[in-house]
Amino acid sequence: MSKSLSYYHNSMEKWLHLKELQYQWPNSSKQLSINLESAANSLLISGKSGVGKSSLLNLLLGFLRPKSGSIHCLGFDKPLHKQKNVSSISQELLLLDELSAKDNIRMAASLKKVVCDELLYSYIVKVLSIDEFEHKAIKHLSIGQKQKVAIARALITKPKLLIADEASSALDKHSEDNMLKLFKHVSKRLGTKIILVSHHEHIKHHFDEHLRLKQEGRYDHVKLISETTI
Amino acid sequence: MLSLLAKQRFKQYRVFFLLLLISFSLCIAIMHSFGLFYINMKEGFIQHSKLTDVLVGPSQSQNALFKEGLLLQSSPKAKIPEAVLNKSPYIDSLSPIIFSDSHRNKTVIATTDSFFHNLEKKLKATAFDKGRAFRNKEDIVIGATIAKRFNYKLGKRVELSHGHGHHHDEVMIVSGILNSTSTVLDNCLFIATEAYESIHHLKKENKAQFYWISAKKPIFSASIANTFHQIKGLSALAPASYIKQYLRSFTAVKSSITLCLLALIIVFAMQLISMLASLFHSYMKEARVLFTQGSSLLFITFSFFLDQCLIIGSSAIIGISSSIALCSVYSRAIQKITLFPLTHLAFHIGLYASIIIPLLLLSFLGTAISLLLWKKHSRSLKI
Repeated sequence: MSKSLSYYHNSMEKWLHLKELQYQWPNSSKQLSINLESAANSLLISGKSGVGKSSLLNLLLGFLRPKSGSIHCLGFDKPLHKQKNVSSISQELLLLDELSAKDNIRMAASLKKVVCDELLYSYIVKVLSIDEFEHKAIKHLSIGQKQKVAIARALITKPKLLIADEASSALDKHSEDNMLKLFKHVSKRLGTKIILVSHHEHIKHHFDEHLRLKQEGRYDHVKLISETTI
Repeated sequence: MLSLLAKQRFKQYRVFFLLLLISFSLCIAIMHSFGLFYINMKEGFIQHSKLTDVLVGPSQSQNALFKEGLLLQSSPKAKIPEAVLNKSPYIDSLSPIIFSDSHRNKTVIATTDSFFHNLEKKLKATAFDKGRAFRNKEDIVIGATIAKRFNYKLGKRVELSHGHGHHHDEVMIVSGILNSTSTVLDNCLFIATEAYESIHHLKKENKAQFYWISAKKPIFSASIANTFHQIKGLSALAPASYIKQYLRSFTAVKSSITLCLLALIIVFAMQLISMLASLFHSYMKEARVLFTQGSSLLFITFSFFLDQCLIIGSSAIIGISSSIALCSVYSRAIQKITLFPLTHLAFHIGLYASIIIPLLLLSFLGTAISLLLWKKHSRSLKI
């Protein structure tokens, strides 16, 4: 395991603590070991398929249990998936197929008992170009369009933390840029921390930190933006 | 939000919902109709058995005597003289029942004042809603349904039909309207025996097809009935004890109906379980969407329950309404089978409770199964 490259300034508040975290895949000798602290507003997790990117997200959300170590995120006691102000975007997207894009987005706000901010809604819909298919049922949309709806649904609740797994895998370059622009905007305006898992390392310059997972449980943790920019 | 969820579910499972709705509705309609028939028969019998202590008529089977003499379904040709009946010391009063003419296809009965006195005594209620019994030959008393259906008021002139002709000379005037009795009497008109003799130009013969007898004490009913039943050419029965026997023989029918209902409920439960099994994946995906969007287990449970209630509730509404509609349309045919007019179509708490309670239990069963499936499924949840 290579040493993590940490450049934190001591005054920055660290919100993510993965202390000696170890996860053993069932029926396999493969193991993921991470020791990490972060104060960044956005964190990109990348790596080849099967290195454990999604497993790390599931560990963070509390869907998987670590073999040892601990996870502390934003001071929450409960698993993150039970937190009202944590949103996640799954690879499967998990949308209600028969409802329109608009209904799916608004339903998330309603389920989390958050008043739907019309200005934010209009902004998200405009940036992601959802307005073109806002009233269409999800079952009639392409995967890329569904991804956009899933992103909008995750952001409409103004979360403190957004955890996204391959949220831009089916998006074209332009849409991916718009998504990253949107992430930056909500991070700056709403203070939302963003953790994104992606294969696309070329987008790393949009993030404050980059965690590259490698084979056999090794990783590189790189701070990409200077503290003043953060 | 629940409406959105309902919309999603209805669209997603519409074919399944529709099939389930049809089969559930059919089950409920059958359950409701069975219940309706049974209640109607039982209450009809009980109500009619209160009308008189003893019924005497020409020699025939007990069943025929009951149908003809108490349910006034048809008139036998044979008549019996009143003199024969005056033998028993236990008789309080006699009311002759003479099938007279008809008015707008409704039966007209010729009788005496005592008929109404006895009616009050037996039903423990005032016989007349408006007006009074006959004072002269032109007076006619009408049943509650007749008054309501034809909108007849006191003083209304009524013409009687006999065979193909009309007694145009004999115009009757409504002198009294009876209170509702939930018996055949509501659908009858009553004239005095003197009027009947006058219309038909008969001499005073004191001959009636049937006699309704009021005993001095109800305990004497069986004895009176027995006395007259022995006499050649007569048959008699005490409706109260006859009904007890009849209902006892009806227990077998009731048990069969109960078994049928139980079978229907089991079919119902199996349909519900097969629905949940067939829709397992999409159902669990939906629960997963709700769960990952921050819904509590309580909300997910409630949404499952709502689902069951939606299917079962709408089936109950459709089933019960169609059962009531069909019973109303085919009320005449049903009357031929059950012997009584369908007077209990309206809300009947016992019947509705016997349908709704099993349905509610089934909704809970469906919810519990869904919840168990979800609990098992949620253990392996990942994003």
